[in-house]
Amino acid sequence: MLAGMDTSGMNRMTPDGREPYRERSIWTVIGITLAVLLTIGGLAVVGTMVLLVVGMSHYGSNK
Amino acid sequence: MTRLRLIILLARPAVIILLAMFTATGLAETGDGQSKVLLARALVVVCAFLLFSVACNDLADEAIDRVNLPGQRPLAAGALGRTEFAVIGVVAGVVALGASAALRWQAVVVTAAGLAISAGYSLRPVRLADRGAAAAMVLPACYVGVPYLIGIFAAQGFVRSGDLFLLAGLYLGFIGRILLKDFRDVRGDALFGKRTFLVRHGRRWTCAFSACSWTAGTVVILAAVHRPTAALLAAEAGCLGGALWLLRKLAAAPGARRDECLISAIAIIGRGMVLLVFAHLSMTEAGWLGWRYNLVIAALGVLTAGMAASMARNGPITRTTVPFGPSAASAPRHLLNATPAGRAAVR
Repeated sequence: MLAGMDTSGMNRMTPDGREPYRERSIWTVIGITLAVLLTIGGLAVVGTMVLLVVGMSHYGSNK
Repeated sequence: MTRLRLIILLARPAVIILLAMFTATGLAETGDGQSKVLLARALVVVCAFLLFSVACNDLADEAIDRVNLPGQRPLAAGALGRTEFAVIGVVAGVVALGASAALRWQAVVVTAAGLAISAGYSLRPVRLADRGAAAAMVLPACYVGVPYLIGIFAAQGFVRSGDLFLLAGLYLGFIGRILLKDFRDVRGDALFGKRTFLVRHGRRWTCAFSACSWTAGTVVILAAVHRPTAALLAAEAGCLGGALWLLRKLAAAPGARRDECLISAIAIIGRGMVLLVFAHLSMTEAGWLGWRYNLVIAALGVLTAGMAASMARNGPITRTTVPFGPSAASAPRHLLNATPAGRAAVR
């Protein structure tokens, strides 16, 4: 049924869906930690930008 | 709630974040990167400018969006009417000019020029969007030039040569990214005779030109940035290497779904590189030097690489769609409007 179809990148559709979710969670946690440290250190605008970039990184954007 | 979601979709959150980063970078270039009040005032101008641009683009590309982005654009999906879009565009343009006047006259000049270029990009008779490489040269002026200069003029009334040099680097780098947006839209663009760089020259040349722009942009950014450090050079070079590697994979014609994964990953790297420059400017201004500086730059580099790798492997988790809008069902009807050359190109 899938013969001839482009199935690369379809592992987000695995039945349990856990592996991509876990991978993304790791990067989200690292990003949030970094943003909090920057904000505490007095660079709140940089911290906010880090948070926004991490938040957008899971969604497809061509820009 | 639905209306609110429509307005958020209309403004395109990913693009707002991108423009906000360029605005913040412009502000940081002046030495006021951490001024939340100045940034907020500049962002009012930039967000209104973006809404005007989106309204013009969606009005001009309504038929093409029905093919390329079924259910993803409020106008093409029928969730908002053309009159409402025209009103949104006019109001946004007035707000952008008014808010820029509250900054200083240089900001008004930049905003007015940006609005004119943006309208000329989408609307006939100028319609630069149909002109291949010219479109790829002009669009970054709106995406990069306007927010960056508004960021600078929010803080000061003049531009130094170093500021323009950094702008040139950001602009060149963004040309390499904006060329890739046409991969998603190639079907409708070919169908309606929109002669983008990709439609004219094909996948391999588009990726090659994009790689040249990425490389030139990175070199100019690193040459222009104040007080560059080894950590910044290494992080930016690593990001460039990753982008070039992904572009090489993209040039190998992997298929629509794989294209989306790779281009989204390349976009993450692009945003990461701008974030690195912004963080560098902010940290040097705030006196964050030594191990703290190196740690943050390294963490941002690793974070960017990790998020890009995850995107390249797994793809985006979802697409934003217009709530309650009709789906692609109406698309075939619009094939009747397509040009014969466009129909042949799609076949």
